[in-house]
Amino acid sequence: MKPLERVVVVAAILFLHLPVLALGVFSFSKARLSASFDGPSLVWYEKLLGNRPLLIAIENSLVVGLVTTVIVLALATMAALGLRAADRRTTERVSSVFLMPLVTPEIVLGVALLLFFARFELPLGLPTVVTAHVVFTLSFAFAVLRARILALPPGLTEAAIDLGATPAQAFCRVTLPLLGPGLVAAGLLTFSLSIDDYVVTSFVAGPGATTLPVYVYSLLKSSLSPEIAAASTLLLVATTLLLVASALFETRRKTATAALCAGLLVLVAPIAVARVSPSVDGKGGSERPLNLYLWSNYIAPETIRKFEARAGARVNLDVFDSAEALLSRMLATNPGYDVISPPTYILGPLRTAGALETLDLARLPHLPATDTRFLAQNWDRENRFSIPYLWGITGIAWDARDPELRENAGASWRVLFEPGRSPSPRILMLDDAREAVATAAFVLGLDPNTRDRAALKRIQSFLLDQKPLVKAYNSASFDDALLAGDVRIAQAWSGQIAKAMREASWLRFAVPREGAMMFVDTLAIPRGARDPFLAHEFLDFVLEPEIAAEISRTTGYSTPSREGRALLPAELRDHPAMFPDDAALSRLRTFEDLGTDAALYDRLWTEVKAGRLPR
Amino acid sequence: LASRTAWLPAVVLLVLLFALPQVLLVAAPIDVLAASFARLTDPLYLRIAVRSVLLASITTATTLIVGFPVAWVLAQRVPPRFRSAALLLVTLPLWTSVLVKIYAWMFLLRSQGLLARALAAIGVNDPALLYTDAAVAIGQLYIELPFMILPIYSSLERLDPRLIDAARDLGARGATVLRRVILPLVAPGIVAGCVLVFVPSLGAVLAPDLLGGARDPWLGTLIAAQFGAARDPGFGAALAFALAASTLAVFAAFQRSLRAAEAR
Repeated sequence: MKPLERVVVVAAILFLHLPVLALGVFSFSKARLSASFDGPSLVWYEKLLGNRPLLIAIENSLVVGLVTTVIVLALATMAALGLRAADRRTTERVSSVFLMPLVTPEIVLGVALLLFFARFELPLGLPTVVTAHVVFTLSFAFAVLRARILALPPGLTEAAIDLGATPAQAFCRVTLPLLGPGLVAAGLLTFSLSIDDYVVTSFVAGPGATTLPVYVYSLLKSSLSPEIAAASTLLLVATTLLLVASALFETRRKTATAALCAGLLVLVAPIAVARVSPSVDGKGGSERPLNLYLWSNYIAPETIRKFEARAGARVNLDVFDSAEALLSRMLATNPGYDVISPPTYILGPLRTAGALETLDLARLPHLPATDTRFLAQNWDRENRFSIPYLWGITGIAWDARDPELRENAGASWRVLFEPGRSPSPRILMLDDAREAVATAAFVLGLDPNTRDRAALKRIQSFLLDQKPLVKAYNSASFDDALLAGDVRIAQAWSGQIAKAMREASWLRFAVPREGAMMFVDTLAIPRGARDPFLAHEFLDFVLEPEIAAEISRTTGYSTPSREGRALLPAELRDHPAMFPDDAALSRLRTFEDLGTDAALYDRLWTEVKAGRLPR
Repeated sequence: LASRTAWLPAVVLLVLLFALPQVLLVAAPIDVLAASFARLTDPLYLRIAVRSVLLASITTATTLIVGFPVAWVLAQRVPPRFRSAALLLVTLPLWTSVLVKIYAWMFLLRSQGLLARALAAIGVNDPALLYTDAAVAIGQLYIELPFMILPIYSSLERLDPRLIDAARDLGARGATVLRRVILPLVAPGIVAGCVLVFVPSLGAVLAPDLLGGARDPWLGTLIAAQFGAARDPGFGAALAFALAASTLAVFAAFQRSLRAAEAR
């Protein structure tokens, strides 16, 4: 090899591996967001062992992967063997059927299957995930097996039969061993495609069927935790061992078997540890499942654990990060959720569509602990459908160390619409049509709930002018973006900022003088809930003052519970981002239901995201 | 056991659960369907489509430019005893989760990430890395590169080096050898690599969303949004169908060009 050629190969291999290896190295660092190595430490691996949703997701992924692989290998082997005896035209036609999934973008398949399952009212869960995985991996396994079969000398099975073997014997003793390496390769490919799929799975996974990629995606969107790095390092070690096992399968059986066992051990050990440790065990088989569908960052693991222990339940938590996402999912069909957290302004459309159960107030004895400002309000006059859960404010959060921002940057929304001195953008906006429109409306002196076409045109143009200043639109991890220094100033929801302020003394939050939106999120039981009785138990549980205080403390959002607030430590009871003073409170407005005009907002937002047409 | 119709169950499954759902995707009342498809011609969506095609083309081009020399060296220059190890190192990333790869790049590209620190050390301060179109392109290149290297490698491996020597002996220069000898022989591998990279890139969701900061809509994220925030599954289905149809057209075109290349 010439030196230049050596450089090409080494550079390519480094490019392919260094990023992931760096992640592996930093999974042993204590620092959460920064790239300065603080360690070595196993803190994220310890957290991983205590993170039950993550371990359940790994378990789901393994189960789905294994079941898919078995089904796919059976079908693909049959197909590949069957085609050997088929004539040319059949072969061509069948091969072209197998080709289709290879040239279809995943998102198309995901969408098609979701609508397909919905049409036949099949409940989404692990079976639908396995079905989807079989459909999109079958072609890959078939291609590998067919190549192997074409490379085999023809007639061996027939020869065995001529020599007196029964067809079954010939298959087990001759055909199968010859296919061995092909089966291993096809199986590994199927398994790895299945265990890595996000796009298709995200459409067809129902409550309780969260797989590892789906869970990791929600983590990546909501908070950047090195637990992901730790989990992926473990997975990387496991898959490398499995691959080594398959590469050595034919030449060095013993080493291959050892690698196989080690790989499986790395995969299964964390789950086994979690299964046997008493803190997460619960009550074994008699657990009743409760499926929650809440905003991201809206409940703490310890609250869930307490409820599980008290009610003998097993809680599955799925998260969303826009009210519209919740609405469209619940308006389609309830995939099996027992409790959801709609903001007040989408209660109207949910009720109109008959998507909510009526609450049995007799089963909610702790409701009177709530502040009367949040009970029997215009969004739900008799609390027949909802209880208030948390509330918060959309304000401005910023880095006070920045010389351009200092202490008063959050006094006016205008700061989000003016270029700074630095040429690169530093502003973050929530990825939310209603919030964007409301903020622009405040600056322009318009109604934040406006449905007037001319006003919306002005707002849209204003938001388009702002776009070059915006670094990212993000509704879930805006707090981390500020903490990591990716942005300096953000349109932000109060709770996550209140929480982030505990990590960073330089972080500020303010309610601008033009006014700001206040949101109240409720808990409701959707029609089709699998266990309405348990759902009521959960609702009353979060109404208990101690629990309400704990939720407020751990999420940073404000509790509507009068008695709960009284239980909070003093610094939180009057925290500027949680319970602002009366002057700030008087500037707050609430969202109203838009009815059919919601489509106007969707269109406006897509156009803002698409940017201006070049003239 | 290996009877003539043993392929039937798999084919039935694909027809029922792959083809049928896609047909049903557009099985709506005709006026709804017409309205949905009429919206596709809106300049807004056409622009998003053009951007996505551009991203997919850039991804295909960059993976080809980076991948071809690597495949060439691997197949023709690396001594045989190191070849399988080198190949394993190139394929290993295929078994790493796409999300992990994206997370790794988020980690590298963030404001206080490794790359920004390295750049600061040589005097470049406050570079815009994460949440840019460049970040999306780098992420796509990183995710798709092995899918380009492998098919090209497998066709280069079968290329007899004596053909090149023969061409040289007959007086052909480097560029001519590449154009007249090597490229026609590895065309199938290149076409396969391009399809394997272009098709998934066209519907990419994860890199644009996580590395691009959700600043601009792409076809993939636009379709996903119709089933979430935009609350318009009918239009989402129309978009998905249009995407499927156009990738099929791209694939057919690729295959035709391949046949033409083979015929020559």
